[in-house]
Amino acid sequence: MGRHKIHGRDGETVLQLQDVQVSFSSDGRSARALRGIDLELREREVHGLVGESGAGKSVLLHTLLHLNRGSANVETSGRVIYKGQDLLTLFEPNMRRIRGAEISIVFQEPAKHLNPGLTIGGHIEDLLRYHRAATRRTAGARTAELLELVELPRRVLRQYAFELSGGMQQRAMIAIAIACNPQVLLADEPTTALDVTVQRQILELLLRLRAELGLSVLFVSHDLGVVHEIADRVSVLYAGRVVEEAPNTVAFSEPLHPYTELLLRSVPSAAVRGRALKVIPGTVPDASAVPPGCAFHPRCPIAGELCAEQMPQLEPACDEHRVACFYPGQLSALESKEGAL
Amino acid sequence: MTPFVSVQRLSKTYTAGSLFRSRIPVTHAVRDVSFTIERNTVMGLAGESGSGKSTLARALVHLDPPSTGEVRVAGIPLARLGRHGLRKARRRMQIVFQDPHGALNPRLRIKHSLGEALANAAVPRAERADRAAELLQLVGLAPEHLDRYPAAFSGGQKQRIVIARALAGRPEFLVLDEPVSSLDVSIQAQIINLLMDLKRRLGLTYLFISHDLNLVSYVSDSIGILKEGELVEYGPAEQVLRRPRSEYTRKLFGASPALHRGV
Repeated sequence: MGRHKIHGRDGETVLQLQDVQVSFSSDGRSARALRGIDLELREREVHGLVGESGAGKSVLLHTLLHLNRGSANVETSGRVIYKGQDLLTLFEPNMRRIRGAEISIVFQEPAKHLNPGLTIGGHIEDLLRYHRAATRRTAGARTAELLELVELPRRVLRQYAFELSGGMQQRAMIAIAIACNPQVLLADEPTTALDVTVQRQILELLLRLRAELGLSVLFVSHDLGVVHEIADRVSVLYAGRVVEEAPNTVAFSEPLHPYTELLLRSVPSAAVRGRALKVIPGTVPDASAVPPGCAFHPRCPIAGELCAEQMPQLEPACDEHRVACFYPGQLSALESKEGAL
Repeated sequence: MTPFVSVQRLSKTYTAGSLFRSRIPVTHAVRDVSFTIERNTVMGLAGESGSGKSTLARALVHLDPPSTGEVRVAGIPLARLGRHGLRKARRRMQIVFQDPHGALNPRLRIKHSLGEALANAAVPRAERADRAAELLQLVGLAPEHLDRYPAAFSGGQKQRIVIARALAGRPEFLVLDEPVSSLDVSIQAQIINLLMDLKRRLGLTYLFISHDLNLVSYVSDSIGILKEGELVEYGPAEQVLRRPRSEYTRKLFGASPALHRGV
């Protein structure tokens, strides 16, 4: 599963983020949740976005759909180019035409995001009547079709979220998300709350829908294993910036950023039984106190003076592989030298 | 030699009914589970949600005594102990839960949280301050943390404090119920290394419960897989990883996302 590349490097860009910055302020303190995100989602690709909590994964998705706007003092800058327009500058009536129709989102806990007083069929019907000016009858036909697509029985149409299991709720949420044939699907930890066997089914469903409907998926997760299974390309997020971006297999087998490399080696598995896990000292910095220079430098075993002073930019290291580090690939080089001594 | 922990045909049922109707067992949360754990080893227990992992954990330490079956720790059958005896036996076995945020009283300074545990372990008042500082050092924290409240700590640090508190009575056996599931990957590794290090240094025995098969594969000497309250797989880790007997185990491992395959 996963790992099949269905497009080359010339896959057209659907969504392009340029230097996206978001900060929240309250009581005179400000938290810089995103500090200049550059990211490109290509057509029909599953782009995995990995990061630990506080890295800015959810803020990023919420920013794309203007879901942050309601909360206190949010400051947003940068550009999100979609079909030649900058989403960040759109006013709400225009955004509303895109949100849920052209770009839609599924969340980690569907039950929290579905209306408890509305049946699954009701959700879909509302959406189709709003975005597609559908009548009750045409909506009904489409709803049946959608349930079939996500492999849910007909009866779910008349059921409420609480009557469904976690896996079925997520299928229902996906059916709602794809109701208007979106181009882009944002997935915010969609399988984190599920058991492994159900998780596997949902991942397979997403891959099938990508193939059948030509979806481009931005898949956010803290789980490296899940991202490795589903993504074509991977971006690693640390303290509100992308520190590394590469095709899936490359990112997981030849990471260049020390954070990516250490993170991968801190994951327990049968393969490393009996050996101590690699540990990254310290914790992820708080968004209100991000270290200067490279945000990772206080935890980095190979950081030099430069790292504390200057912020490394995301730059091409080799084909399709970009990294934001002054010493890319140096960690493994250093360790193999030490090992030889 | 008798095993350090022995569980024989343990079942836990929940009943429905009321004062006037007979109480009929409706749910077998755990059914007829038997296993043993050798001293200073780790038994990993995995299963999906609702498989009975936590019920088994609670029944094992008699937080919720089992409906039938027997648990022996260091040869002592827990069911035969009275309230007082059980209280004493509990010093030798402790349970650590998933959510470190809910496990510490937010209004108590760390020294008081640890002090309570030390009092329960019958440590004389005069020795408690020193012991509390020692406990924090054991889990990689500093004595100056004693005066702080839980809110001042990150999730990983809180879990360290919870582990320190569990160690107050110098237990020999810890039941770890999803001890790192709410933590970030890099913090998980820190806590797992700490737990494995403590096991070596203090000669501890663990029942390590997790839904994460990769984690269970990493820490365990023996592995049990629960499905709908039954132990469908149980054996030495190497054997379960290489040649699982049950179809369900194979399915579970197959569905589990992995970075590196194989042993």
